[in-house]
Amino acid sequence: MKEKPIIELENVRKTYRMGEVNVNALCGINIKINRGEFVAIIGHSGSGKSTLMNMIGSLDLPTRGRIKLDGIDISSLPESQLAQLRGKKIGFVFQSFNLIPTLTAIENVMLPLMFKNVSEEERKERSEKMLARVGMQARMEHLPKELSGGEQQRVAIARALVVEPEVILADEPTGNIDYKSGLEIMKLFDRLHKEEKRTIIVVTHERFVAQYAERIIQLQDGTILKDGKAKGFDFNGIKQK
Amino acid sequence: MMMQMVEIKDYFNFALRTFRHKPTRSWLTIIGIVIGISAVIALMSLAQGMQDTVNQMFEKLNPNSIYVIPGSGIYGTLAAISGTEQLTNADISAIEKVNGVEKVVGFATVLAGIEKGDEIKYSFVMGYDPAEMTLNEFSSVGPKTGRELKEGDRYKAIVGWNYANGNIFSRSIKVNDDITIAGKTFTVVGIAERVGNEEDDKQVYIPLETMEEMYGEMGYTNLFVLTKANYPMDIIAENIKDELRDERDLEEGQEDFTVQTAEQLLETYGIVLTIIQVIVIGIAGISLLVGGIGIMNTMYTTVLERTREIGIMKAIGAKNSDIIMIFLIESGILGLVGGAIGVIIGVGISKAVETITLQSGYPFGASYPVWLIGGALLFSFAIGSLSGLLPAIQAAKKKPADSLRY
Repeated sequence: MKEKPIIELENVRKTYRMGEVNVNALCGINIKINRGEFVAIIGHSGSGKSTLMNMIGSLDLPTRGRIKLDGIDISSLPESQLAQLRGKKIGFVFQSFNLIPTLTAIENVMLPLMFKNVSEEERKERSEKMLARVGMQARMEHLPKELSGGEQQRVAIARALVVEPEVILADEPTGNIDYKSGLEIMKLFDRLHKEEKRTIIVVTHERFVAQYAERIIQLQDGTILKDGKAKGFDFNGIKQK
Repeated sequence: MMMQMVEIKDYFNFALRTFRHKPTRSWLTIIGIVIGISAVIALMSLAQGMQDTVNQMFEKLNPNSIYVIPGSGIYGTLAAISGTEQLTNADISAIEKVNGVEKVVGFATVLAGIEKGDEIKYSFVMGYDPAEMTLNEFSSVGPKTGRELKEGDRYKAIVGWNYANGNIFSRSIKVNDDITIAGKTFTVVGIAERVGNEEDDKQVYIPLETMEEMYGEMGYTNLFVLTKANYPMDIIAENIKDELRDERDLEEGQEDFTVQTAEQLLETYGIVLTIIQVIVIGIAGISLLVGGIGIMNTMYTTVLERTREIGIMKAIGAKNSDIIMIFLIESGILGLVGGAIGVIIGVGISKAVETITLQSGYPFGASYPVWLIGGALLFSFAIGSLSGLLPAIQAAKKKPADSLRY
């Protein structure tokens, strides 16, 4: 029996109302992503990639269509269950890191475990382990503002990983950090994919980021322009850093 | 799916981190509540203390006593003090006829200069017949040291508590000291027990006979009626009124005298105190309202400012109930801390007022009943959490994607 996809989008549409006009951010997207895949979603700004990311991550609901996460239709779940689902199955990595500024690195990593009602001891143990894995063991007690962009992003990745999610969703993870740190982050994703067989979805507009993926989905004006293997992908018009 | 509840302790720790991070904002929020609560505590504890002091004073009243004074209403009090209206021996005889009356004593009052050495102070001097009644019988403030006036005493005096303990004269008066009243020398035979208000505690008591020798035959400024035990006081008071009306040939409603039982006297004071308390609660309520609006305003902007944070927390698995709890506890703590500091400052203010009044000779203690302190803390916690709750519910309702765009 063929394994069912971890993420399945069926004819997903999203329309935003901007004052008087309706903007179609996504116009009927169909995607299937299997467990263990490393997918890059690329496109120019305004192509709908961030909207797509929000849909996959259940941060927003589609206007039409269905989204299944591990077989569960999330387009019709109440918010309280969505929150728990997110906490269990998805690890988010954002462009602007989105660490809580009042919490130290380790406290930030511990936070998702708190919402899962994990005991404080276990929270601490798992978070320390995860920070060590992203190379941040020396700076665990620092506040986000005391860390560089690359370091903050690594803390954010540790926070995403600590709940052992099914999928890691990264929205422009290298967008706010320098090239060298960006490379390190991407190598980290690569390792997580190859060594731990994690499902990783990265939204980006940078070619070098997309090249780490094995599959690339290119969006344009809310529709899929290309969907194929990364090897030999025609990066027409995608910027090289 | 089982709903998981995050431990309160965790929310609590989370809230404390925010305070550490934004101390100025937190303190500004707290100050609003501090001002409101301290005003409430200070005003209410003083009002309550005033009530307690008055109650204590009235506890010293003989419950079997009825007071008759000339005039009626507020005018009566003025008339009694100014001496324009007087009660007479005929009035005493009339009252003595009433069933249940044990005895009636008349008091004459004059305002006189009291001299000791080269100092002179003015006070009320009260004359009564010691053969009829002792000071202790009509006021329960009989002499603590020394003795009562007795039949046959001439130019002897009992002085109020303040003469021996206050600072009326530069030197405290002792039993057997001589003082001069309206030019005549008196020997102090006793010091009255403390009543609790300055006017009464600087009063001087002398035999009525001596007073009449000095001032000539004079009427009474008030009559003290002692009733027999277990008689209905209200009925006796009504009967005294009837007798006095007959004797003075007055219609009902035209009385030029006032008859009050100890209980009625207490009620009259009770009404005045209630009015004062209502005013005080009104002022305190306004300051609390202002404080409450202040905390609401800050919490509202705080929550709004942290919309993005709310989005992050929801993205990493926080339920709406988690978000609401975090802000509820955070603002509740702000309220409670403000309340606690407010209570401390309020107690400080009323203690200061208490010290000042005590130094001025009024035995006045502020009172801190449990309901006042507990109520203030509860209220500040409630207003705090409530003002955090409303914006938090609003913020939690947003889709995380929208919150994250903030």
